[in-house]
Amino acid sequence: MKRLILIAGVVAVTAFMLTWFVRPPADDTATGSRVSAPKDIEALSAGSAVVVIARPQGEPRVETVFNSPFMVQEFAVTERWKGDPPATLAVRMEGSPADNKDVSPQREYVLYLNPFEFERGVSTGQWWISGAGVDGIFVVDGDSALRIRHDPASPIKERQSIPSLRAAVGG
Amino acid sequence: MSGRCKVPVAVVAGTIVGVGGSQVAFAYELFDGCHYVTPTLKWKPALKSQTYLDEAQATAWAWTSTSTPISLTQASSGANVTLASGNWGSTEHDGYMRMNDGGPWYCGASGHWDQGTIAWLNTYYTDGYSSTKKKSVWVHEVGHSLGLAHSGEGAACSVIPIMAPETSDRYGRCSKSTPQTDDVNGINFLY
Repeated sequence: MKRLILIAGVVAVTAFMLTWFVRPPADDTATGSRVSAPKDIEALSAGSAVVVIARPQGEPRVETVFNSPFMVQEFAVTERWKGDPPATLAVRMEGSPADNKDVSPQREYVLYLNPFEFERGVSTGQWWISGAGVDGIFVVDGDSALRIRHDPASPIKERQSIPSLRAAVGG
Repeated sequence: MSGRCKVPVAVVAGTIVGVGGSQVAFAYELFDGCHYVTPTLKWKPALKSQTYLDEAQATAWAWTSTSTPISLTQASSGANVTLASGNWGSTEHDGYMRMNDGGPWYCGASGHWDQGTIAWLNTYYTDGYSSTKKKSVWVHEVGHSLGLAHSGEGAACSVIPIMAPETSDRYGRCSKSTPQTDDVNGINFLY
């Protein structure tokens, strides 16, 4: 009987450990339904009107939609990889500045962008990060770039070299 | 994320140990086990136009008619779940779940939602959707309201859950607009 209890205990603990380590944490940020998602960096590039390296400048402002905050941050473009965007871009991001503390004027970012609009074909003057605001923003870290938004469902690799990102754009 | 509960017991229960110790893993994912106190819930519509009302009612019925304790009854006040439609712009999201205060999900200290939730359709996209496609997004968002997180992306259509994160996958590829076996398992674990 003691042996049986011991075996049951070991099985239960093993199951707990396996589950704990194998099962990824629930996606605690994305409660949205994505229209679709790019399967790789080439698709992300192809689906973006503009790809740039840029640096945040000035203070962000907040706009709300149905009580939900969106941060609008100006970026100064330092390199153009795709498209012919203006020198500064107003980029719209989900959440408040407190939710976007990983966007710092001390760093440069690779941004994959499309015009943001409420009415089809009518520009708001703002830009949206391609890949549902998640996939298309990387912080430059030496000769590589690290994706700063973490959606477990995203197939886009978290760290990529700058040359490989640039090659995927075709630049 | 401050203010969010961590209830690891919900994670443990995602696995059954079968005879001989073989493991049968559930695919469903949870918001750390956070959910409503009761499965008997009231919902109300908050719609951009009445053209969405049929889909809202079909969504509530899609969950009520599952083999779970969930019951969603339309009510004019005291709603736990609001089914809303509005224009969020070109965010590449056709649906959102938000708490009543507009914020993302967070748990009360008891491990339950401490306020109602809103299942949104983003009409920037959904105005161009068929009735069934709208329902697919809404049933997915109400799944979040009930406590289910994303799961099953890219799964075979025979097993893909309504909680698969992309409409192009869940509906475009697999034509799912109602809760599936995995979703039902998740709800029956929670309630």
